[in-house]
Amino acid sequence: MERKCLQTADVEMKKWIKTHLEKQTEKLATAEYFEQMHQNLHRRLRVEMIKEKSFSEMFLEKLQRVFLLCDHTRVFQRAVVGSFLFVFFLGIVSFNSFNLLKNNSKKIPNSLVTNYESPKIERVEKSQHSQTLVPSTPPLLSLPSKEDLEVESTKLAPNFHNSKDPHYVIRDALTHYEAMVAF
Amino acid sequence: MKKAIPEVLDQSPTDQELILRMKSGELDAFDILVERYQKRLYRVIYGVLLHHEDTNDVLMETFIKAYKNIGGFRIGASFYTWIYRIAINTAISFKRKSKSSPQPYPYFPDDEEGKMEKEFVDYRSAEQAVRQMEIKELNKVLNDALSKLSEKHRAVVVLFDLEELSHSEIAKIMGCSEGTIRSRLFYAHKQLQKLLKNDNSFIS
Repeated sequence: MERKCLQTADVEMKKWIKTHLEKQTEKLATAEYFEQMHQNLHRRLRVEMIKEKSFSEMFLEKLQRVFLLCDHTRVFQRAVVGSFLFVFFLGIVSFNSFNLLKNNSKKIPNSLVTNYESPKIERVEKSQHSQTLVPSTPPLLSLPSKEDLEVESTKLAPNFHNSKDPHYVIRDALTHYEAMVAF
Repeated sequence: MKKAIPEVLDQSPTDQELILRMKSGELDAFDILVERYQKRLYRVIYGVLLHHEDTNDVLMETFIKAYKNIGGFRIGASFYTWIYRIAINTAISFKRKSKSSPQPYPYFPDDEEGKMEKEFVDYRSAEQAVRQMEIKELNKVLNDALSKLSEKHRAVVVLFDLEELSHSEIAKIMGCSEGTIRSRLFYAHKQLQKLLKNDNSFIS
């Protein structure tokens, strides 16, 4: 009898716990709550995705999705049209640039052309000049004679005329000494 | 023991199909899964934590973990067991980390009662008023009794009594043997009975 009472009490308790928790969750977890939760979850997921993946990975994934999920024939058509347009664009650009270059070369005056060429000529002249300055024999072999050097030394003292004469030099020095003593 | 989650099997597309779609990068498939499980997961997590704000945090964390680890989910396995396991483990670890005490039983003002005219209230039988008071008191007592159990015991009670899952399913979710689940359930029921018996308002 006691056991039966306990069993019914247990069943009753379970029922109460269930209804109690159900009521609470119904009151707290409303449709608005779940809507808000969805928005927050989406935001969090976006952040997590950005955190985990690098830009290149995301870009590659996007490309993969575009090429895998799209209709293949359509993708192929687009690729062909795209490449054709690219080649056409390149052709136009190269044609224009060629024309521009052609026109510019016609417009350049002759004076500018000569001016442009003159440094070349100068350079050639300079090279020729440098070639003439270079001695044919080495400098050690062409030493000046002793006499020549003496002449040169006399030239360096312009006040002493006839400096070749040693007496003249001594006399001159004495007169200088006498003058100093007199002073 | 009757099998829980019958509505999941009836629905189209199935969980497996949605997971396959999700693995190919479809976020809409994940949205459907979230909508399918959000209410039940909220109930389970709330049963463990008994706190609305904490439940919200854990619910979000559960879905994010599920999204991140969906690559490791084995096709053919039960999705609800997998996601319930994530939810229970996240809730228990959350409770361990945070020292927040269980929310006291929230007071929900009875809207119908507030709108009623005074005259009508006067005509209400005294018996009904007493019953209302008893229910409120009982809810408070139940909440107190549940909050005195540990998280693991509460989780077992919620999964068994509220979600009506079998012992084997609970064992899979909790990651332990059926015997452990049985003993935990027995202990939790005994404890609840003891706690509620002490209170005179229950089982008169």
